[in-house]
Amino acid sequence: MSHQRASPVRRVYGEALPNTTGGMPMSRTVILGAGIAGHTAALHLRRMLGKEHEVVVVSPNSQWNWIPSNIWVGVGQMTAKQVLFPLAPVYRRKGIVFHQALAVELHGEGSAEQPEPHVTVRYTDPSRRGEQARITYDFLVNATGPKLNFAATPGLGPDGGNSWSVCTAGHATEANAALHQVIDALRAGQRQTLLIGMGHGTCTCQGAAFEYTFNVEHELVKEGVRDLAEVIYITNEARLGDFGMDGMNFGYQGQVMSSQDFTESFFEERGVKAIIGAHIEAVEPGRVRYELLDGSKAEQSFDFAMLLPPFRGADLRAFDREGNDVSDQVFAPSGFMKVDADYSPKSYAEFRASDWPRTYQSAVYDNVWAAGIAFAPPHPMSEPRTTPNGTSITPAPPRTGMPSGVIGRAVAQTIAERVKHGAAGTVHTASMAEQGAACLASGGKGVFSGKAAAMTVYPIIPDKETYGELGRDTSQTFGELGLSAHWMKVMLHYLFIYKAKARPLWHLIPE
Amino acid sequence: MSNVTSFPDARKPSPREVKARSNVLVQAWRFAVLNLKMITIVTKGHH
Repeated sequence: MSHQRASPVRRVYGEALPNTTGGMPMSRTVILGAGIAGHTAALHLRRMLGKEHEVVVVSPNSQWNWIPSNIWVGVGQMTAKQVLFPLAPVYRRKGIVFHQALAVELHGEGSAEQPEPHVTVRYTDPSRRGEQARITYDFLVNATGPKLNFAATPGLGPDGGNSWSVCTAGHATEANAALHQVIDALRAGQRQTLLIGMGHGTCTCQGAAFEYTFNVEHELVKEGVRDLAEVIYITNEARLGDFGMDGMNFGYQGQVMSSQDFTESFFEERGVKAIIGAHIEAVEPGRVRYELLDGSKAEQSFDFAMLLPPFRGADLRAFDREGNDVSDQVFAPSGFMKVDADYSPKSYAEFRASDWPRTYQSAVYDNVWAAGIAFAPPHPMSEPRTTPNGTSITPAPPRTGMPSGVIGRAVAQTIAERVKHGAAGTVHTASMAEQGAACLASGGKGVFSGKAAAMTVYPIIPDKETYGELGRDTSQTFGELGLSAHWMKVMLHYLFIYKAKARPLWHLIPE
Repeated sequence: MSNVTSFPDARKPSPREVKARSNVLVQAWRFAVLNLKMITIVTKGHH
């Protein structure tokens, strides 16, 4: 495969921190990405290591985004400013070196020009835009998160496409403007169809689409135009409530309720309809063409569409010392980094919780880890399904904020141990098969009119060997609807932004 | 045939349950319970 090598290259090495005596740091950890996993890893590592050790963050974005609240930006209940803050002042205050740049090459064995392991970065900082540099490292955390793969579906996305997105604060702002045009049309007495969901058969983040659906529905009710609007949720899930996690079974009022029953009840109550088991083939102006699990094909017209893209790994290529492209060894075909998981091909019946990674150490490099969405899952959680036409309609496994933060922290702890104790240092683990997750799915914002579904799941990865056929501990897996869940989501918005700003005692707030 | 599905057979919450979802006193109690449940889950995930 041909590859455009980075050029010209400037070496960035041994930049002294303001409060050190100058010269070379004792160790340098480079963290690629400043999302939930990367930012968490950077702050904890900085806290755990002395100032003689350098922590470097490389992120193409200048701002940190509390992504769960983008939903509220997308319906006009928050502004982009409320979910964003600049990273540079926080890193300056904490003594973390920040490069606003995109990592493009990983040289885990060094190269002919630079014998030490390094990454090549391309600056997105306006003052250095386009400039490239090599940054050497002793330890590397790949927390590059997902690439929003709008290109997977023709016509998908707001940039030259025919649908909106809430994946970034900017996208959500645009979606809100479009939504309010629809509300204006409804006020004028025109019927409107709003289509919200997954823009491809392999999407993840059904929870975000679910939230946006019900926030939009809530706004339509508030505006008094609900009766003229048709709200349709389109999903690649084989059944509602799958959420890319093979569904859940909640302990509920002394009984077990499936997430399918829970979710269908919510849809019926709010008058939202659904197209289930769908892969969108194309998004054209005012309509989508899609294929269903049975292989049939159909179209759905819309006046407003918010469709999430599938994810893939960042455009980061790996090279050996001789300059050969070894990306296929370092990364899975999805572009996510291979770590200590069992990637051997397996059928759904053979999926095991133990297939999932524990340490997130690279499968190739001893001093590289992948945290958050950047690691390659060994397989889906939901049953993989293919249509008679050979189209895969399988939700990718979610790796939401909570496990991303926990993984980022565990990786930081492992690196801190390695810095302090070498190979004898304790290796910290954060298997998704041994941790739970909490999800607060907003169904509308308002101090007393707000609605949300609170869901917890334990463990995230179904473990039938430990928990029987249901795969999860039903005493720890529950779902509940109500105003309290909305209050909780609002509380977490402020709490996690406080934490991300590294305000006093931030580290006491769990991930 | 339309592929757009509704769910008429889905479980319907009782009027009491619907009312409780927005009752401030009930929800204040549930808020406390939810916090405790979340803390339990979070604690189990931090080794």
